[in-house]
Amino acid sequence: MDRLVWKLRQRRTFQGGLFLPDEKALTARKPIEQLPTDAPLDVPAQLSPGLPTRILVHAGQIVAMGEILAEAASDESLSVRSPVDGRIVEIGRAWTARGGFAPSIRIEPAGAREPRRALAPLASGGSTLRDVAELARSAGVVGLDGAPLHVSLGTARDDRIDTLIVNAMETEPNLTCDLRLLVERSADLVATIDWLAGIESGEVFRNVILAVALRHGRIVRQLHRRAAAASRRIRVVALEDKYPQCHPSLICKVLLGREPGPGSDARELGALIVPLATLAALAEACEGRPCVSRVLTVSGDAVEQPGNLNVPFGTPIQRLIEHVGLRRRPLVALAGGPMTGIPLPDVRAVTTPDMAGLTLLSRLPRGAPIACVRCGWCVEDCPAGIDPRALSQLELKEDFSDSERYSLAACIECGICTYVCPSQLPLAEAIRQCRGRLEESAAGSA
Amino acid sequence: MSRTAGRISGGFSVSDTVLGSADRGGEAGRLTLWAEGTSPHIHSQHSDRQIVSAWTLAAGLVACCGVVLFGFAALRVIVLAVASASACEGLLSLVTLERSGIGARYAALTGLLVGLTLPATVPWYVPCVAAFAAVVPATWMFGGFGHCLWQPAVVGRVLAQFLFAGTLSATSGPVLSPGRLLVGSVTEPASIEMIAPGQYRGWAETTRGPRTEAFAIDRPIWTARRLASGDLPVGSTAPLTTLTRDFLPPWEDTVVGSVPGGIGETCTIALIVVGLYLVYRGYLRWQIPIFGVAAAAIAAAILPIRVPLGNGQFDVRWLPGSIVEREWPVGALYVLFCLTSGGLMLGLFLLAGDVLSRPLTARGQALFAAGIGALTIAMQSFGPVDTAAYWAILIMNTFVPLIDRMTRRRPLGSGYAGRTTRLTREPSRQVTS
Ligand code: SF4
Ligand code: SF4
Repeated sequence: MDRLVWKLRQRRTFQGGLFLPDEKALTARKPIEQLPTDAPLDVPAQLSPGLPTRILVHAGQIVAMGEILAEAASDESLSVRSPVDGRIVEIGRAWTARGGFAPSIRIEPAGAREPRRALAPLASGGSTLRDVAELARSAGVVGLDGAPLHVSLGTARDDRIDTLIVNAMETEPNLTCDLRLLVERSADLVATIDWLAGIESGEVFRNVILAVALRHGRIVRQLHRRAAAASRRIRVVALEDKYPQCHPSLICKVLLGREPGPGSDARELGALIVPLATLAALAEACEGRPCVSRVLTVSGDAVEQPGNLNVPFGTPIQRLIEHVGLRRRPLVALAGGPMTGIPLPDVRAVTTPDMAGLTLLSRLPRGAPIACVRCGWCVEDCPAGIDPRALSQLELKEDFSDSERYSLAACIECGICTYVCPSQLPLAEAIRQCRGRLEESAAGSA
Repeated sequence: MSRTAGRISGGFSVSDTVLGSADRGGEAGRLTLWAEGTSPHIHSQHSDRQIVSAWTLAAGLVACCGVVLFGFAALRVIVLAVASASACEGLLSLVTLERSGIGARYAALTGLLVGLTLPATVPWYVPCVAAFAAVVPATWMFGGFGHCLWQPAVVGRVLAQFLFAGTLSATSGPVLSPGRLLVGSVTEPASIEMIAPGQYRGWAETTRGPRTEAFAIDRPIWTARRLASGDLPVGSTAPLTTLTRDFLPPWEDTVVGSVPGGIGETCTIALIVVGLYLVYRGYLRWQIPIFGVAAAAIAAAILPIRVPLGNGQFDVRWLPGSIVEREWPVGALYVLFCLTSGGLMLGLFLLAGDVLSRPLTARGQALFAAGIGALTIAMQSFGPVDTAAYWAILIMNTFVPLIDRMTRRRPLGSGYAGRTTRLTREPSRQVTS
């Protein structure tokens, strides 16, 4: 009875969005597997674009796991560590989903050795915000959108952050890596949240929320139990798993009742949003292991044995494909899920910290676009409340009115408009292009 | 992302030298250079073709009911309408050298819908001209499929009403008699038995008496109109009881469809069924029929009827929907007649919900449908036109751009957005620093 009431209870949600057929069943029950490190890695010399580093190693050098390959060149930047014990083959370039070609360090692994402790473990009791930031920096933990976590932690005071939201929503189709982390490491994860909640005796994050998807009822109940046993107050909130509930703006809208303005982020509402993968990396860092790999879901209809793999950064996706096998010839490979994933051009593209999945699809269902039939689905389902139909018709226009600018900035690039359009119009793409032009003209005039 | 698309394909030939040899064999080794494109890479699999097909199926079902009720003559009208609509579309695509599969399907659907709005007794040229008007002026002059302000089939029907007012405005019409459904003929004048007002006891009762192919009675909509204008001798003691007993067919007849009217207009049951089907498929929002019917019912319950007092005087009675005579709520029955006797049901279920000419959002559609319902009843009783429901649709179509503007959603992050939050935060920050 309690369960029924809990299921039927009215939940906060947002207008628009869709319950997608998300193919998560392919991998939802596959335990996280360690990808064997036996093939060369092309470790990008920057954990994400915009984090400048200086490469310290040279070809032929022997490196140990956790050794620094490239050191941070600025305060905001992060050092890159070696994911394996091995030998540097060469300094080259590799394709990354978000940064295009980037300098990379090719390492030939030399057998598996025990991971060594590269960092001094941090006592959880007397930790201050600065300690946590320092830990995140030295372990190389990236947060939302590949931005370094230590920077957002470091400015938490100045930004008047009082809310910590751990985002385990994962409404993107096909991806199950966060779900598997919750299943397999919930004790660790809740302990880490508890530790973060206790920073400076709870003075920093007064309000700690773990957002999980409603439909994983068993996990939600387990997390509730664990959170109840924690020393600090952690609110486990189950949200409807309507796509794109995982987007930070919509998390804020639903959990805080407010939204960040277009083009800005949750920090202006006093909330720090941490993806679950970042939390997992922080949990590892507490135990002295640097962040050199992440769990990602390899899935899609072209894959023979889809699964969740723990993959070192810089693994060419060819290695992943060899591991999971192919059932059909993939037409497209995406870094991420099928709704927002970034297409990768070649099997030699490498994994990065912000890549939550690899999706290989054997067909592209969209046909030739025809005229808009005014069905209104794009308008109804757009989670940002804008009119994609009207905005996509601005493509040829030179300058935009204020409301058009505003709407363009409000788009969260979820892709729902293209997904639903029965006329097969590439609405999201058109909006992205308009946005690009808008940003260019803004940059030009500034 | 799409701005870098050129770089992706252009850059990778260079990369072969940069990345060194990548020839590692295996199935994966042969895969280079994937198809490009931008997110999302999946699609809901709903297409315009499916929408038009579902709509055609729904209209076809209603047409079948019409053929059962009005016989071969109805089939003839529908075939003529569909054929001439398709022929016009075909000729136009020859002239303009623009061919589109969806355009042809939509033209056929338009022809079918035009056929549904016409009575079965019209001469052959009426459906042809109406379908021509629906395809050429109403669709092509606005730029073809996807660009129209007014629902094309409705435009065709209204233009036909202007051109052929004589045949289309007849005050009475034929229905097949119960034993002769589907096979009977409504067009043979000899077989039509005129039944005087006040003598008609319902369609099922006509099996008694001499065997006939079909019979003609006053169109219920015409009777409702006469009541509103005050020239129906209903008597002042119990006007609505007299009305429903002597001047209108029983209410079951208007629901089942065995009353004169357009081929697809009369069978309310069939329209509700296909409406449910379209709602189930997700191509029609429930807001359109529900708000339309509700607004029409409210309008019919409020707008006055005129009861003649004999000497050229009227007794104007407002709120006819609340009238109770001899402990029998005849007001409700009167409202039901107003709803089911004209083209309102066809209009709400199949014509107003047409994707091309309805407002974009659910709220807008509710407003739109409510406007159609209320205007239909008002014009049906008091307006100068005979095809009130169709005129109401055209009028509300005209307001669609305005309705769309009124029902715009609030973009994410506007209103109570961050800027205001930041303003309230600013002073306290200065105090602490
Ligand atoms: S991509 Fe942008 S415009 Fe399209 S549905 Fe998502 S938020 Fe709306
Ligand atoms: S979803 Fe496509 S067809 Fe429908 S209104 Fe939007 S742009 Fe037009």
